[in-house]
Amino acid sequence: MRYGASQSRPQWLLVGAGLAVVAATYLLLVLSRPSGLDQSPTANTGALIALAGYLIGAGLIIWGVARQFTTSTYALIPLAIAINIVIGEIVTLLKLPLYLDSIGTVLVGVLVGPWAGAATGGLANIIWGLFRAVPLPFAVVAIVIGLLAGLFARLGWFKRIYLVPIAGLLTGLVAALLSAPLSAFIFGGVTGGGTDALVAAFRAYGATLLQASTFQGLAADPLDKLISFVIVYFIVVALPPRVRSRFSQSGTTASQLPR
Amino acid sequence: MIPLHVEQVAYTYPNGVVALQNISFSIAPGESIALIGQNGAGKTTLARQLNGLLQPTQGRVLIGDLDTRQHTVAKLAAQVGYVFQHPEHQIFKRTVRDELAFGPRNLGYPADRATALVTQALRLTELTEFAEDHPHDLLPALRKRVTLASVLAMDTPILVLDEPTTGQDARGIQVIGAIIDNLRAAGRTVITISHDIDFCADHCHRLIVLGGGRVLLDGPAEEVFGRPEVLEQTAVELPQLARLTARLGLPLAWQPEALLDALEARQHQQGQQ
Amino acid sequence: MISLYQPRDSPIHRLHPLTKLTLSFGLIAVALGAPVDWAPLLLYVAVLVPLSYVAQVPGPFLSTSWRLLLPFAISLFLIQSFFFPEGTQILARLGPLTVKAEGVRFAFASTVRILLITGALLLTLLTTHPGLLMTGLVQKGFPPPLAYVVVTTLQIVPQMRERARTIIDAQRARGLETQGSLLVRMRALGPLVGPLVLGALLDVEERTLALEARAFSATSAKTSLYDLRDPAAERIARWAVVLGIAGLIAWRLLEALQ
Repeated sequence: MRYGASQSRPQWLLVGAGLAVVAATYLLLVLSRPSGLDQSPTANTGALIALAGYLIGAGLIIWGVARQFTTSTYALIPLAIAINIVIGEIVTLLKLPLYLDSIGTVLVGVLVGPWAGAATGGLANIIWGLFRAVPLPFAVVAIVIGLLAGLFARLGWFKRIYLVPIAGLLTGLVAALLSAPLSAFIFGGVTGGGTDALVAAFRAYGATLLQASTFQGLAADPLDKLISFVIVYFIVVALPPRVRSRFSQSGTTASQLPR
Repeated sequence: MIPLHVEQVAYTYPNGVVALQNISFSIAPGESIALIGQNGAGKTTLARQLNGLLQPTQGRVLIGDLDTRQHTVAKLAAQVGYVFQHPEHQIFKRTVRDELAFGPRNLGYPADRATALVTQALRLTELTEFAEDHPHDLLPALRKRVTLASVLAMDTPILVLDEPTTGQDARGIQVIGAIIDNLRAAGRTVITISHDIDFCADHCHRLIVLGGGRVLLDGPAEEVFGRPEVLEQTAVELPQLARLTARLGLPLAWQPEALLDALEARQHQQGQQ
Repeated sequence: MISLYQPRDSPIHRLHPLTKLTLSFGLIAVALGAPVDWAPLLLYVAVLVPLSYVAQVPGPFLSTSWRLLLPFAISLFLIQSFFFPEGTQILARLGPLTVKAEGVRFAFASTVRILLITGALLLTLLTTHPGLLMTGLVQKGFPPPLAYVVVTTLQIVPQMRERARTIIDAQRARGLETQGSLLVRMRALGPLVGPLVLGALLDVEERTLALEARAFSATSAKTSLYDLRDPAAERIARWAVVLGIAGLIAWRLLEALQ
């Protein structure tokens, strides 16, 4: 049994490079094209930079953390990704105005640690991408969600119920900011869903496309992640002691999880 | 206490598989029924018609005077309790007691009645001492009894049990059997789906044998066990003692007392010759 | 295993998975690097559609491609035609709303861009078995444990869906309402999500033991059951495409920085 085996470290060079590429892409797009549009309507430069930067960044991060986990973490990740997918389907079935498609990712972040959460998020979007192509460029957003969930757990924010929604809110905020340029430059500012009406409303008031995409994200993501984090909190609380003790040995220590 | 009517029910799955054809029967309050037949005979499909989880593509199912096609499963749940086979498919609370309170709360029972029902269900399933434990910390056999208890606590006039004895030790089987007998004595209806023919023979007075989506036999145990050639079609074996009586050339019996009586009668006969 | 894969015997199916993936990204880069906004549409019609015939998957290709595009296309044309504050050329007025030429043009450019990006990836996914895709990637240095994760997930999802269906049935049978007001539907989440996640976490132990029994390890490369051919011509083509993509990105990047 290797449940308690200590994890080796991520390859910091790769992970650091990945994070730097993503940050640079974000800043470049936001600073050089603050409107969310290319200067010439015939140029796809923004799309090219967004797609390349976010995909390369995600690839580097995933590569950098790929080989460091224990066997039980590798066994857990596919289950967590399947949880993301199937809960997303349950939410559709219940006709809820939410996604809740990162509960598995957040759970791994909280139970195992930030890098395992990051890997789960990235791989989840790659797998979604195998069916719909569209989620693939957003892999880095999912990586950051898993990473932040893990970091908040490390900081002990999952010990107290009132900190959990705040952690979710902050994570959703970062997710919204990070996905806005992708949405604006590649997908023309829309998601193909109901919240697109918000884009229309913000544009009607003269907002730039990047602003409208950001606002749309801010209207959906923080609430969605808040609810996801709270659900994960209650799942962890309801875990049988034998399951919880197994996970709390690796990464997150028992004292950082809720009692 | 209410009757249950299945009227010319047919069911075809959305993928085109015909699972049930022309099934009709009625069940009166106080009956204990066994649904038997091999895998794929349509037992589970039929059972899921009885609480509206599936709705007949033809015919209708009446629970008292409620047509299952006109009410939600959640509403029908107040009349028909359905105990699923695997506890992992429903357990989500931190303690056995909370898990049991889930159903009564959904049905909107007043708090004192719900508490009383939970306490009673714990006692009947012999889980009282585990009430504050996490359900997933219990042994599998006990955990399975939590699912039965969680439906017992809903106090429904009709109960459907899906394979209640799988994974149970001798004591567990005894406990479950006693619960069925008591429910029946109290005028409730119990429908048991089971491969455990000995258990059915002991606790169900009427057997409905399914094969290929049709009712092959429907009657009291002695009648059904008297037709081994039909049972063979759907791979149902007679209870062990009944097979023994057949091998010994004795009149059909599957209860130890009945077998002893038959043996004594034969000795008596032989003694006279 | 769930996947978009369509088994056929075609020259495209026989290409090394990495070659297909590289060509897909190459096509996307060309489409986005071209200086005209109809370039993606041209490449879709002139390259992807004919290739889908060569791969003997035109039906699934076209239907999936348009199914993915449609919600975006509707949103784009509805929103960007009517709400494009940067636009000046007014094409039509509908009451208080104005249709602007720049907006329609932007909607068109975005729609064909999405069409090409999704289409290019789809063609690879339709013609490559996911297991083979992962084997191909591992052959070229992709971390084996990640390939394991991808393949296993694709195998688990159908089981998990089946489990979710049973859980929904079991909880409804205990009186859980899954229809009604938003509050009622929100409250249904816990009883449905709880057993699903709990069940999955309980599976982890068993799966870990199975992996260890198979000497799963994060560092060892797997010897593959599939023998994947990777001719020199394909390798050269891949490098050429990768260099082309890199050059294109570098050029556009320098341009953007100025």
